[in-house]
Amino acid sequence: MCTLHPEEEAHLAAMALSPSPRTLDSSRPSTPTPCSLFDVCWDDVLIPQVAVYLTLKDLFNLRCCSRTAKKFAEAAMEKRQELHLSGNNSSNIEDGFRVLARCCRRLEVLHLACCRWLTDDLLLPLLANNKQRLVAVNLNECINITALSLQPIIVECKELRVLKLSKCQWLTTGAVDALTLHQSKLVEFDISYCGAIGERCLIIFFRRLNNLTVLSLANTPSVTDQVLIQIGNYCRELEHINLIGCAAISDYGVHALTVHCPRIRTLLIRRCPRVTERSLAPLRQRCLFIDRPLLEGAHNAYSLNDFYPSSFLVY
Amino acid sequence: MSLTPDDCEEPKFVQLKTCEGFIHDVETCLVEQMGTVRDMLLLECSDSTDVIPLAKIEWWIMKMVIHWCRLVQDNSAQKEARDRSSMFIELLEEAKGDDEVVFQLLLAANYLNVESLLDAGTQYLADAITTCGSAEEIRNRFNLQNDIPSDEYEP
Repeated sequence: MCTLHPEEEAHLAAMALSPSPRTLDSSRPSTPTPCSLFDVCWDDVLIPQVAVYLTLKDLFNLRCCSRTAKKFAEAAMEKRQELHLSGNNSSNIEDGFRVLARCCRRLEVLHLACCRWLTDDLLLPLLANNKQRLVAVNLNECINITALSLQPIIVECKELRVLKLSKCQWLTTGAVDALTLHQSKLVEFDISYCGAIGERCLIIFFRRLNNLTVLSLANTPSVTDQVLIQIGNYCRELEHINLIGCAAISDYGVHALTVHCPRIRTLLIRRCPRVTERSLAPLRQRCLFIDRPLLEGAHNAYSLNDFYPSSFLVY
Repeated sequence: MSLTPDDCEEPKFVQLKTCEGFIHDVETCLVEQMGTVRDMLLLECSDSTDVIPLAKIEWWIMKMVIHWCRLVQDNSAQKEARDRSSMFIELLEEAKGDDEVVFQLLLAANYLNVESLLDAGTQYLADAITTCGSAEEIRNRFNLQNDIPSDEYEP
């Protein structure tokens, strides 16, 4: 009869107790724990690390898959921090936007430029749910909303730093006055092509915007040398300014602006006929980017009037 | 405690016990990648001979996680997201893994706080969803049952 050495007996006993070693290939237990996509932790993994890579189209597709998928998609929308719909004018966008307005609660960045379908009725619910965290709002060319939509943005978005309202013809002097009262921390501001705003309210407005670094006033007829002087006096952090098509400004205003804003790196002044090399030449030595090229034989003055500031007021 | 791979010429080991009671001897330099275990060792200042219980991890998943940590260490120069994604796909192919393996790996990576595995696994999952062009394709891909009544469908 074959007897086992005591150490062999101990080894066999230990083998009987522990799981048998398996290779990586066939390493799964015979009855695996059921696990589906939505069993993975939502708050720790699926929403912060998977949903951030998904587009809105992916989320809306998920909403149609199952009840659980719909809950997940809406939970992901709730935590979404940025909404980019600029230029999206597809056929059912309004329905989708209603869902987003209901679900999104943590938006910080809102890009809705050129959304011609956007109305106050669609936008106001989204703003009501997200006003605490909004930092950047782009409503360029949203021609079918009114100053009513701007009201919650002006009054209640305390963290707002970027506001773009280019070609918003509905923007009134009253709205800019409200901005003056409530929004002094703006870093980037665009009111190009806003013809209804007067010079006076702009002068008062820029007195409060001490943190402004990017400013677009292109084709705003009420921008005069007086406005540029105010910007120069109060917006000392300014780096980029767009004055394309501001026909009322002259060398006087540009000089006052650039002397007091040492950080300016970009100056756009095409179609400003009263701005000449008299004010631009010293700036070229500062290595500013100026969109108007230096022409050989350029006149130093357009006319004697270039030595004097613009004196008319536009309300 | 912090060891670089160079310190592993004479590797030290940490014993990790999975939920079935199986003990894995893991090199300390691989355990560095498991934030949960690393923090437990730092917090308790325990002797490396102590066995660390991992009640939520099954042994076969633990083997895959250890294999992943070894791959990351051996390919430490490849830190680009797409390199890690390729490594993750290789890991799955070696294990002949399906979606369930992916989900279990993500659960384990989250529990053990293995950041690289979590990043690679979640990217893999996101790519799989994005590749699907419609709700029907997502249902087929992830075996989801459509239990939304037709009257609840929003336009």
